[in-house]
Amino acid sequence: MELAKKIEILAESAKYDVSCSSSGVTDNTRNGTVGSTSAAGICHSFTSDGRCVSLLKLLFTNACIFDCHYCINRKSNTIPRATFTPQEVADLTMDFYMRNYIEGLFLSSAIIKNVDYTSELLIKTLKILRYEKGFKGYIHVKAIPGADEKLIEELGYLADRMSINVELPSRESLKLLAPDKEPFALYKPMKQITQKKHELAQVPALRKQASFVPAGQSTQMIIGASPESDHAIVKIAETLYQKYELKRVYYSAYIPVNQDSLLPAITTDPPLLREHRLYQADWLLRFYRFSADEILSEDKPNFNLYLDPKANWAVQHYEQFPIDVQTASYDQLLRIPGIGPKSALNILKARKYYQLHLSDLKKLGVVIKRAQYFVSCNGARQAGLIHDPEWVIASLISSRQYETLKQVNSQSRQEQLTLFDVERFETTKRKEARYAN
Amino acid sequence: MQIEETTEVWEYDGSFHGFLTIVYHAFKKRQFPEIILTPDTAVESLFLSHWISTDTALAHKMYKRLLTRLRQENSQFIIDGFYCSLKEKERFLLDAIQIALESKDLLLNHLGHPSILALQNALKSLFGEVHLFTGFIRFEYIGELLYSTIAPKHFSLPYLCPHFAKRYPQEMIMIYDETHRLLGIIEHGEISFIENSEPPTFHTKESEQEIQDYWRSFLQAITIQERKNERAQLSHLPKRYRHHMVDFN
Repeated sequence: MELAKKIEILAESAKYDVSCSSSGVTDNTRNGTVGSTSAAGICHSFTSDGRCVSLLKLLFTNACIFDCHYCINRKSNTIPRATFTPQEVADLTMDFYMRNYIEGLFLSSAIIKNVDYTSELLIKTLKILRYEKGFKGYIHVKAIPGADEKLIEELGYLADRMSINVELPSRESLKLLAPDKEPFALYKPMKQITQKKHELAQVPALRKQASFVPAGQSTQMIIGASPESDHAIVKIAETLYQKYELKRVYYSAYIPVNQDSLLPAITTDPPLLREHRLYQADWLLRFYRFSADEILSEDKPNFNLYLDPKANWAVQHYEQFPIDVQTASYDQLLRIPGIGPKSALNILKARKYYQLHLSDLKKLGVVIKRAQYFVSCNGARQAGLIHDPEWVIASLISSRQYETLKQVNSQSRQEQLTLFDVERFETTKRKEARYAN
Repeated sequence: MQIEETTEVWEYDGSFHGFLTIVYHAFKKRQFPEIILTPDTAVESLFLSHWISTDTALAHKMYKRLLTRLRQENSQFIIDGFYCSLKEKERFLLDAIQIALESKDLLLNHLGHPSILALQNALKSLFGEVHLFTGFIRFEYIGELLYSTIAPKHFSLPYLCPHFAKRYPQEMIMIYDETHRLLGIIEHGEISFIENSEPPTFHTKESEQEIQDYWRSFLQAITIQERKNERAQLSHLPKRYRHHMVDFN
């Protein structure tokens, strides 16, 4: 098969893999004659779906022995199949890298023959790149769950970042939708990589020399293919960050690719807003010192699609506000909508020397439009604002959204709480839309 | 230091040395002109200007003095500021030098001053452009040489070259800046520039076409139709960069 055709098939198959970041490490310790890694992510292009391209994202093969229901590459699908050779992937990576099309390689693979054989092919590709071509740039490789520990370790020394896809947020869904995958096998390599990194970090002599997965691990979950609540997903992400020290968890809105009775209908739109909210919550976990149970809870397990999770939290805990920016701690500042880690630090610095005034906040990077309902400054608050949670919600979202929310509310005759019952509202809207067409 | 604001209009050749000569005259006379023109901006102006001719020896002296009198961050701020595309930047820079001399403070702490704020915003825009170019530049092999053309708004090329010197330490690279007619040459990690240069002419190899086709089909293949969002694409990758990118041929 021609190379162009292979690229077409195997890039197409890899397009649902999230993660294009290449910003894990600077100046890694690898020897080489070409390439470098950069701390700040460099985007090399943007496709017309608005997503960034920084890595040559490819599947090594899409000829899979597994039959996962959600996957386009499942065995029982009749799609064109192709397999690269290690040399082809290495050559293509170098050709693109030299012309500055990409920042590095992202190599994933379907399972060909068996997991060990697939891992060996990936290792061979990376060896050609690292040793024959002297490539020092960024490589992200998917570890194959279930592969021999030795193989996973070898891959870890060759790559900058490794990831194992959790795929689905619960064991039940995994069992149902990915019957060939062993749920425990997914977490085993994650644990192995974390342990190995710890081991190496403890030996001072090795700390500088060995570059074992220097950019850390990441994973990916498919959202919307199975019935887990947002709370369950955020909880899993939290565990992954704490237990396996993951660098990133990626969320991918499920785009129906297979006709299957176990899955959403092929006409369903991908839940992009839900995905967006999950990323926002993810930021809260990583940079805003929130815990999963603060963001969502068992009895309110789903996101408010109209308010971002932080504003949603703030409105529901309105009794804790206003927070005085002159005296609040860093953690408290981070809880104020409209204030991020950067502006919180700016506030801490600025108030060392000056008495802050409300009008200074904007210069320090605070988004006043949001923050004004939640801050005070030396006891003073923005004049002319009504301080009522419901009113705050109305001001934070568009009037049309608020009107629709209120309508749903009055029909259910429930109080306050139903203001956040967006799931039901969405279902109603979807039903109506069907008739409208 | 008492500086008098005059209504004079000065003009110089637009070079960094020319600017340093202006700095010399302004501080020597303790007079800041109201407007400073370059041959480019003089065309649009009706005012009669006073020509300040560049004195390289004097400029060198001024440069050394600035480096010793100002703290490093501030002299870097002023040098970077000169390479931004900003209207009336020379006038702002005179203010910046004066503030730096008098306060000995970091210029970034004086964002309240309109000149410093304007310069800081222009710097942000310069470094933003440099960052985008690190990704959006496309090279072609011409024989053994990697070649690329760009059309930056700011004087980005000198800031861009170190990145590629590190990325391709063994290669011979040329980047041509159309806007400023500047040719950057990186030879095995060593950077040099040729000013006022014409774009080099050569023919590209056939094989480059093939690799560019691979790249375009790769981009096509990883696009998810269900997520199509050209507005997002436009805001991340503005049209002015696309002209020299093989992605959009």
